[in-house]
Amino acid sequence: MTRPYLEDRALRSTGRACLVLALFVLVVSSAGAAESALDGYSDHAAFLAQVRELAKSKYVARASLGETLGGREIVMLSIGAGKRDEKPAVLIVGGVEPVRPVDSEVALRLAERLVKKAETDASFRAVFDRVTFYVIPRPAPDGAEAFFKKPFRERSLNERPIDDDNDARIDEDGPEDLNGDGWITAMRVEDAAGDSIPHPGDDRVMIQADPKKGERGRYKLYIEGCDNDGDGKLNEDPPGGVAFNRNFPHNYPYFESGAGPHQVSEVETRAVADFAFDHPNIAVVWTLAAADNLLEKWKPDEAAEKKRIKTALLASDAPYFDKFAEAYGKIRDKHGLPRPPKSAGALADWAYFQYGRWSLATRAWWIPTKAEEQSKKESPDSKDQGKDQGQDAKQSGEKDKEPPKDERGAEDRSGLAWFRARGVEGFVDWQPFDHPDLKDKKVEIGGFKPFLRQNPPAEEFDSLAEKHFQFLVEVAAMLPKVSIAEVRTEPLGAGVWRVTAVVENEGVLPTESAMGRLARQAQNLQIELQLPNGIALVTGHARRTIGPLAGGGGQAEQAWLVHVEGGTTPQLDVRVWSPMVGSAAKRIILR
Amino acid sequence: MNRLRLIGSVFFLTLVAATASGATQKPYQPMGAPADPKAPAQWNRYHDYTEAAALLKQMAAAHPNLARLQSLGKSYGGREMWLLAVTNSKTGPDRGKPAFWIDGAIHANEIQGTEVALYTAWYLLEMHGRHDAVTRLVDERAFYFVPMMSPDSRDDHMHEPNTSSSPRAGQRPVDDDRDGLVDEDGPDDLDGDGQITQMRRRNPNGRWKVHPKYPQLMIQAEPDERGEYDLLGLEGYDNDGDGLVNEDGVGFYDPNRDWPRLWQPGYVQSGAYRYPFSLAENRLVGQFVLDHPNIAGAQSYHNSGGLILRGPGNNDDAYSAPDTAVYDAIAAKGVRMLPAYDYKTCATGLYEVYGGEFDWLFGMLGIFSFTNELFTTENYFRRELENRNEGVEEFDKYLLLGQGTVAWHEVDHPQYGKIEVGGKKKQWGRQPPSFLLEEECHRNMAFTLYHADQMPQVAIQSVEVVPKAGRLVEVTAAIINQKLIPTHADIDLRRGITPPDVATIGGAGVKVIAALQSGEPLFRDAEEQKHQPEEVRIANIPGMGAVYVRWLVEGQGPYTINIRSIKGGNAQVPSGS
Repeated sequence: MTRPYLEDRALRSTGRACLVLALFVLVVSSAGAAESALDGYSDHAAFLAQVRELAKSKYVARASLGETLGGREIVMLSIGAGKRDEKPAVLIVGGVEPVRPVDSEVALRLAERLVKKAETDASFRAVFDRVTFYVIPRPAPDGAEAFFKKPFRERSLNERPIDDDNDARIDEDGPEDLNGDGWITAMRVEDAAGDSIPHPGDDRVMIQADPKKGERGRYKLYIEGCDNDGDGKLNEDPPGGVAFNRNFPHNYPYFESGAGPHQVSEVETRAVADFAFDHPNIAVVWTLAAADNLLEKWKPDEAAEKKRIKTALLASDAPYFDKFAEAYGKIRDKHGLPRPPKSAGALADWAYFQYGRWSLATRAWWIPTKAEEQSKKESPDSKDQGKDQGQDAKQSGEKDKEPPKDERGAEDRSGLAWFRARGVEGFVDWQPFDHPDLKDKKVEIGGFKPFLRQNPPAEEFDSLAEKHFQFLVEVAAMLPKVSIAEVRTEPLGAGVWRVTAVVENEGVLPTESAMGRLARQAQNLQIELQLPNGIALVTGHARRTIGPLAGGGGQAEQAWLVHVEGGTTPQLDVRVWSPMVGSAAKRIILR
Repeated sequence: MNRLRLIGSVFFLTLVAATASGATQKPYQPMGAPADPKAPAQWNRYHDYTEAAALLKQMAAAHPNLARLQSLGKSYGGREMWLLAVTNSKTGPDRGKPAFWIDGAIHANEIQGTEVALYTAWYLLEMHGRHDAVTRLVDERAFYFVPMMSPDSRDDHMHEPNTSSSPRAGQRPVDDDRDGLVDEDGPDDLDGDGQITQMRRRNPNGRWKVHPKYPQLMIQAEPDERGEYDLLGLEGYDNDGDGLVNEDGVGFYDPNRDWPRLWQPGYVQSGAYRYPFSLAENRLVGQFVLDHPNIAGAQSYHNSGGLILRGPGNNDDAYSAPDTAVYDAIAAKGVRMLPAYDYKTCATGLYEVYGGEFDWLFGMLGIFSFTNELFTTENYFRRELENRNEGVEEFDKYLLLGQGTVAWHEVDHPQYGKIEVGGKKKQWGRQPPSFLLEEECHRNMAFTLYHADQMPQVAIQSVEVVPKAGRLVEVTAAIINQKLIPTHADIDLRRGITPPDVATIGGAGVKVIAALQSGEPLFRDAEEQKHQPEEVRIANIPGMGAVYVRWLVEGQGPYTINIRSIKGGNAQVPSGS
C-alpha cells in the first residue's frame, strides 16, 4: 500500500526516456507570451493564420472538427477539386504526438504544396480529378501549445484533469522549473539505492548500472520539481491529461498513464474518428507518428493471424505495405531512426485494424546519423531486434560469441554530438541545487532540454515537406482504379440477351485490403445495370455487390439475363462504384 | 422529526381525499405497494416514452424532498434521457451517500426493464415514511434511475410494427449490407395489423407442417413424411431490388456492445458501433456514472430467460476469489427471491460478449453489477416446460384465450404472390402479460434493494484513548464497514480505480506525531504512514470487516475522528462535531 520513498517517476537515459517524459510531463500553464522552444514554429494562433491564408484557394475547403477543452479549434483541410467527398481520399494526420510539432509543420506544408502545385502546374491537376486529400495538421492543439510556453516541458497530453496518483486530489503535484532557466529538465540525486551512473565516456549522460560488469548504481533520476503535496513523491500528479495517440480503441492501454478514462474519450480523438467514419471515401490514412511502420515495417505473424482479434499485419496485405515502404524508402533512409516505441491505443493501428484502411505511419524528422556510423554500430544480427538493450545483448551474444556492444547512452551521445555539430544549445549542464525536499542529498539539475532532440531547426521544414510531398504523390498513384474492361452481349433468341460486364482494377492496390474485408467498415464495390423502359431483367437483380478486386489488373465479372421488347432501342448502362475506389461506367448497345 | 412531519402530511392528504369522497376511513393497506400513493400508478401495464416521462415528472413533483428528475441530454431521436435521483435530501445530498444505479431496457424491445425500474423508484418514494426499511434506505443511500436507456426505440417498439425481438438497436441508420444505402430494406407489415409476424407459403415439397394440436405452431415434418409449407422468414419483401429480403432494417448496432471495458469492433463483436460510447445515449449515461464515484452497486434490466447475470462478459477478464465471493453472496439471496431464476456468469454460463455494460461498471469502475434477464417460461405453469414451444401455445390457448397470436391468413406478397402471414404478436413471448408484470417488478426490486442495502457503510465503532509517557497520547479508532460489500472491490484495488478511504484526527491543540494502521486490533501487522499522518489512507475496509487506526498525538483532546469513503459514506465521532 505504501510506496517506497521517492521511487516513482524516475527517468533514465534509455531509448524510452523521452517517451516517459512525454507521457508524464506537463507544462505549468502561464499566460501566453510569444515564446517558443525553437524559433520558426507556429503556435495555434499562427497556425490558424496560415490555415486562413491557405483556405483562400479554390482547391481548399476548411472545416472545424470540434473545439478542445482549451478552446482551440481542430482544423481539417479538404484539398482537391470538384466533388471532393465523392473521390477516393488520403487522410493525413500530423501532430498526433504533440511533443513533435515538426509533424504538424510538415503536414501543413504538405497541404500548402498540394495547393501550390495544383495552382501552378496544370499537369498536376489530374491528380485532383481522381483523389482528394484530407489534412488534419494539428489534431491535438492543446497539447501542442506546450512548445510555446515557459517553462518548456515535453507533453503529449491535453488539459483534461486526471488524478494520476489516485489520491482524490487532482493535478496537485507537477514539475517546477527550480533553477529558473525556462526548461523543465532532470534532477540527478546521489543515492546509494539508485541504479544509475554517469556514462564512462561522457559524464553528462546517465545510464543504468550493470551489476554483471561490476558496476554499482550511485544516482536516482527525477524530473525537475518538488513534492508539492507532501506525500513523499515528486511530480506524481502533473496537470492533465490524455494523450491523443493512446486513446484509440485498438490495443487500448487500459489504466495506463495518458490513456484517459476510456477509449476515444476526448474531443480530439472523437473528432478524428468520427471524421473518418463519416468519410467512407478515405482509402489511406497517413499518420505522422513516432511508431513508424514503413522503415520498421509491421510484420505478419502466423500464430497471431489465426486469432479472432487481429494484432499483426495480415500476410496478404504485407506485399502492399512493402510497396508503400519502397516508395517511402526513396525519400528516407532509416539511419538514426530511433526505435519505434511500442504503440498502444494509437491512431495508425486503429486505422488499419479497426477502421480497415491502408495505414501508414512515419516520423517527420529525427536526429540523423551518418550512414557509415550507423552500419558500424548495427551488427546484422541485432538490426531488427527491437526491444531493450538487455535482450539485444543476450541474443547477439548467443549468436557470435563476441562481447555484446555496449549501447547504453548511445542515443543520448549521438544527440549531444548533433547538438555540437549544429550549434544547438540543447543540453543543460548538471549544476548543484539545494533541493527543499531532498535536504540531505546532493542534487544536480540538468540534462536534455525538452523538445530539441525531437524537432529540427525550422530551416529544415522545406526540404522535409518536399520529400514527403514526393511520397504522397506516389501513394496517390497507387490507389485502386476500376474500369469496365469488357462487355459481352449474347443474343439467346426471342429477345433474351445475356449481358456480361468485366470489371478490372488497374491500380497497384487491391480495391480493399484483407484487413479491410475483415473489418467490414468500408462500402462494398457495387455494380448496377441501368435498364431503360422496355428492357426487363429475366431473372436476377440489377444491382449486386462485386469484388473485391486484386491490384494490378484484378478482374471480376457479372452477368444478367435481360429481355428486350420489340421496338425499343436496345441500349443499357452499366456502372461500378464505391466511395473508396471511385467509379466507372459504360454504355452497352445490344446488337 | 422530519419523518413525523412527512407522515403527518401524508395523513393530512389522505384525510382530505377521504373526506372529499365522503368516506371516513383510511383505505385498507395490503402488504407491498400502498393503496393510496401520492403519485398514482398502474403496474400491470406498460408505459411508452411519453407516459413514462409523465410518471417520472409526477413522482418528482409529489416527492420534492426525495426525488430529483434531470435530463442527461437528448437521444439520437431527440428524446430526453431522463434520470431520476432518489434520496432524502434532508439527510444530505446524493453525492455524499453510497449510491445504487438502476437502468432498464437498453435493448428497447425488452420493455419490462423500464417498468421494473419505474416501479422501484415509485415504491421507494411512496414507502418512505411508511415503512422503516425503505425509509432507512432512502435516508442513508442514493438511487439513480435511468428507466429508458433507449427511448427512441422504445416508442418504435410500441407504436410501429415489430416483433417481440425488435428493435434491439437504436434508430441511428446503419448500412448493414454496406451497399451505400441505409436502412433501405427492413421488415414490412404486409397485412397492416401493426405486427411483424412470420410468412409461410404452401408448397407440396415444403418441409414444414402444422402442429396437430396447436394450429398456430409450425413444426418440421418427420424425415419420412411429406410437408406442406415453406417458411419464408419475417413479414417483408425485397424493398431495394437487390434480391435479398429484410437485409438492412433500422440499426443495426447493439447498444450493449458499446461500453469501454473489453470493447471490440464489429468484426470481433457483432453489434459494436464505431468505438466505445459512440452512441450518444450511452455516452451521456457514462459521463454521469464517471462523475458519480459514489455509485457502489448497479443493476440493469433486460429480458428474457430468468437470469441473474454477472460479469465477466468475456473470458479475457477474470474476477478474483474475493470479488466472486461478494457476487455469490448477493446472488444467493436473489435466486431465493426470484423463483426459477438462475445465477450465471455471462462468459461461462451464457455467451461471450465484448463491450457489455456490466463489464465496464465492474471492470473499470469497481461497481458490483448485475444484469437480470427478466421473465422466464417457467412462470407460465410455475414449473419447467417439457416442450417449450407447446407450453407457450398451451398458455396462450388457456390463459390468454388465444390473444397472443395472429392467426395465419392470406396476403398478397409483391414478390412471392399469395402467401400467408401469422404467428406471435410482439406483446407475447418475451414480455409478461399484464397479470404477471407486477409480480416481476416487485420481486426484482426486492433483489436490488437487498443489493443496495449491502453497499459499504462505514462507521467508527470505538475510539480508545491511552495516555503515554510525557505529553504523548495514543488514540486508536476501530473503523468498520457494516455491510457485505467492501469499500473497494479487489479489482478496484488491483487497478487503482477509487481513491483510498481517509481517516483523520483533529481537535484543539492536537498535534499528530505518527500514524499506524492495522487489519487486526492487536496491531501485529501494523503499517506506519510516514507522510501526512493526520490523514490516514486506508486502501480498503473489507465487507463486515474493520481497520484499526492508531495515532500518536500531543494534546489532550477532545479528539474529532472522521472517516470518509467514496463508496462507503462518511462517519464522525463525536457525531455532532
